[in-house]
Amino acid sequence: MFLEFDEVTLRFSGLVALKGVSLTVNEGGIFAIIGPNGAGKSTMLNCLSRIYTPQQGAIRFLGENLLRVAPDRIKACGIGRSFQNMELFSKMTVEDNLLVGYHCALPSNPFSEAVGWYKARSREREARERVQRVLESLGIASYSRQTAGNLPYGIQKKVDVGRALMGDPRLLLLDEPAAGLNELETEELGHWISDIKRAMKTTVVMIEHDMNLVMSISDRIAVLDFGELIAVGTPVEIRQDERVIRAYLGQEA
Amino acid sequence: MLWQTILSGLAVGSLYALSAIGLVLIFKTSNIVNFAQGQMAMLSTFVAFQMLTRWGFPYWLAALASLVFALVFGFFVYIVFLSRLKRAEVLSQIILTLGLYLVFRGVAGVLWGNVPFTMPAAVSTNTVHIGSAVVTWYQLFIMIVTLLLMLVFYAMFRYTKTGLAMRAVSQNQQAARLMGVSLTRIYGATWAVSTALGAIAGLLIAPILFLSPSFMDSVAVKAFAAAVLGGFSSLPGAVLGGLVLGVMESVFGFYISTDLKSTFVFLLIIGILYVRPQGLFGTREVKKV
Amino acid sequence: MTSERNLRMARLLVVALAALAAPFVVMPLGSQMSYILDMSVIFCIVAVALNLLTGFSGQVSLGHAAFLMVGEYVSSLLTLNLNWSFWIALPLSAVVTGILGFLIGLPAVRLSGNFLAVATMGFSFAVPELALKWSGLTNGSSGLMPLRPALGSYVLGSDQAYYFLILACLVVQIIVIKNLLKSRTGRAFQAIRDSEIAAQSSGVRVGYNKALVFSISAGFTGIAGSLYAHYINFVSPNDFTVQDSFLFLAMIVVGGLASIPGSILGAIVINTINQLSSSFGQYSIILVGAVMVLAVLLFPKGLVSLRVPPHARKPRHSSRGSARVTREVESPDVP
Repeated sequence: MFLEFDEVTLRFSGLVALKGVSLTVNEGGIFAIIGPNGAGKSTMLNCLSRIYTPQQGAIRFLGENLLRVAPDRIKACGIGRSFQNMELFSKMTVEDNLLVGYHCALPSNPFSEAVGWYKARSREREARERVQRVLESLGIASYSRQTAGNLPYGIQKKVDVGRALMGDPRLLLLDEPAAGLNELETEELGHWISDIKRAMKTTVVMIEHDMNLVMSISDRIAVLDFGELIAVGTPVEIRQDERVIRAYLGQEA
Repeated sequence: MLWQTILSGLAVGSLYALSAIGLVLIFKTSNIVNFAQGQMAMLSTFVAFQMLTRWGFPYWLAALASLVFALVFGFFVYIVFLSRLKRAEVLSQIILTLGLYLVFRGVAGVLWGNVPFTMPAAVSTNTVHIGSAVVTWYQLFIMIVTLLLMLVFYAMFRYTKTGLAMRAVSQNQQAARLMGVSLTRIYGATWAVSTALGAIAGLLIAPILFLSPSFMDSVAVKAFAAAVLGGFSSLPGAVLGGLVLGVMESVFGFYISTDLKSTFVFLLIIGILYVRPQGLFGTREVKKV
Repeated sequence: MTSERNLRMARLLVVALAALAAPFVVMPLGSQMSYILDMSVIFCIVAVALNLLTGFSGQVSLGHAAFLMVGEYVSSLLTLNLNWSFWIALPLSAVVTGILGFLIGLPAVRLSGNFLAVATMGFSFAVPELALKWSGLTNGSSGLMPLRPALGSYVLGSDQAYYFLILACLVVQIIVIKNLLKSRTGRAFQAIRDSEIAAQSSGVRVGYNKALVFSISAGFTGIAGSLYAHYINFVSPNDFTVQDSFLFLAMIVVGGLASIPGSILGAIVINTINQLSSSFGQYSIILVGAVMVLAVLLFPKGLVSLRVPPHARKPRHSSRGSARVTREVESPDVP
């Protein structure tokens, strides 16, 4: 099993954000999570990256229960993520943002770094080359030396994804990657998400509101409503599902 | 004996609480920590002192003048200095208020010198017995004034239009502005009111401590600690923080050691914050990602 | 690229020459100027250390006055009571202060902003009280009298000779911090400042790194404390108070947050004004306060923003981009 949510329940003082959600994601492909606002989509990703801890259930990734893994070890497990509001290191350069994404893969100790030993420097050089490759694949290599917070919105979104991609994660989590992008930018986004899946053999789990994008690139889709999983299936199946249509259009009383 | 210590701790704690409310009020509305608050209180107290002892006005008139001065002074400081820095880094605002702290301290030194004066008290300092404890009328007076002020304040916050606007601004500045609330006016009013609160604390504490340009320093620091202890965004928290701090100081000073009073008090604060990083009454801000 | 490099080299050369010539330039101006110069460089060390913590890692400290005093006492006690050489006591004062800084930094793992400021402020109150209380060790308010260090048989007795010792420490500190900031550890510090959540999701151990940067910052401040003690030759519990902690913060804000040249500029400006005006009594405080107020109002990004670094040229769309980003930050709920 690649990724498995097993009866995950999460409550915030009274409010039940996730109600016994069980879900399996197979390796390879693009898996989309959709649902109305407040359905618990971001909460699912936040449980995966250990920002929230569910009260019940387990999340297994390659057989390991992630709920027993410290939040800062998630990346080392092979899970990278992007954020809805990007959470860039806004005062650092684009290159440094991505280098932080490569943090776990860079073995080092503060002493050799402080003295500037050759070994520490050669590892740095290699890491910078990797950063350059990722930036090129996203088409933003020319921004490498600029401060991330000063860049246009669309570029910042790519920097966020680039940071998640560092260290070649086996699972990439994208939280509303198309939010705030125009039509053209969204189309381009669809292309490079597909590219990521193909070229890097990375499984993508994404939350997205843009239905055109979701329907065109996803292999499987899960639908959440009020913290409950109401449907899982291929885009064609989801489009025809009664409960999904009801959740989106609202139920007539 | 324990009661005695606790009672005098509560009296000092009320003063911390008064200053702390001023700090929290400004922080809640404008997100600025006003480190000059103590010095502004000190200047206001000196205004009363000047009228009382040099010009011979009666106490109530001097106190009133001091409060009016504080209101105008607070508004003025906000409009002239802080309003220019709205979008700056939090640290820049802190340094700005620290700079003002130094300027005010220097000005008071130039005008009144650094020799401590005796400040007359509003009521007598004779003692009174409550059960087994002996307290002064003055300590009781301090606690009563503090309590009354808190009630007045609570009512104002709850039931007046300005109070409503202040609460709105502290929840969401943009929305409040769109609803027609003038931010500058509300911020100015907040600064005026909290400076006046500081001035009351100054007037109350000066007779105990002697009046000098540095007399509010220790109170200001403790008020800051009290506000933090309470959560820094909660008014009842600030009051409780002040009282807890006052009692802790008093008890530690009496039973353990006066020399290490601050050390113990701050150790305890660090301990409390370690268990509750958001303070006693603060709500933990959950960042949405 | 090469012109940028040349410009940098030229700038470095000018600064280096100025730093080397400074003690001889101020020597004819009298001993007070030499004293101010030496003290300024000691405070440069403190400011650079504090800026690593506050400017680069986003943690406020009002405890640096205490770290200075710990450095003072460790170095004085080692040289006076155990008769150890200054050259061993100096690094050891950094180690001891650094360990203490790590312990102080542990609560910092959970605290931030004002809460952290109060927790560290307590330390600035506690150390003088403890120094006074443990008079058996510290000699209480009568203080300790550590001596000027010697290189072989040559005692660094003159202000000029001692200046070069302080300057050497500052240079080593800057090199170490610059190396750190360019490496994995330093990037982790800055990442935590900008977004703790993203740093954590990128694999940065937030708690450990927060305590680590506290420790490094404290360690360097301990070195400054040791240098101060052996320069003034007198150590007492009143040497540094919370007010000094505030003054250190003022140095880095006036000079420029997250900037090493800014720290140095701020330390020199604030210390020089402070010392030069000290004979004017009350007017001195007014002057220092006014400088802080004006500097913040006129240069909100610090004095260092007057100098435009060559790589700061912004991309063309920057204004549009950043405007959108602020909107996005203010209302994260709006998709």
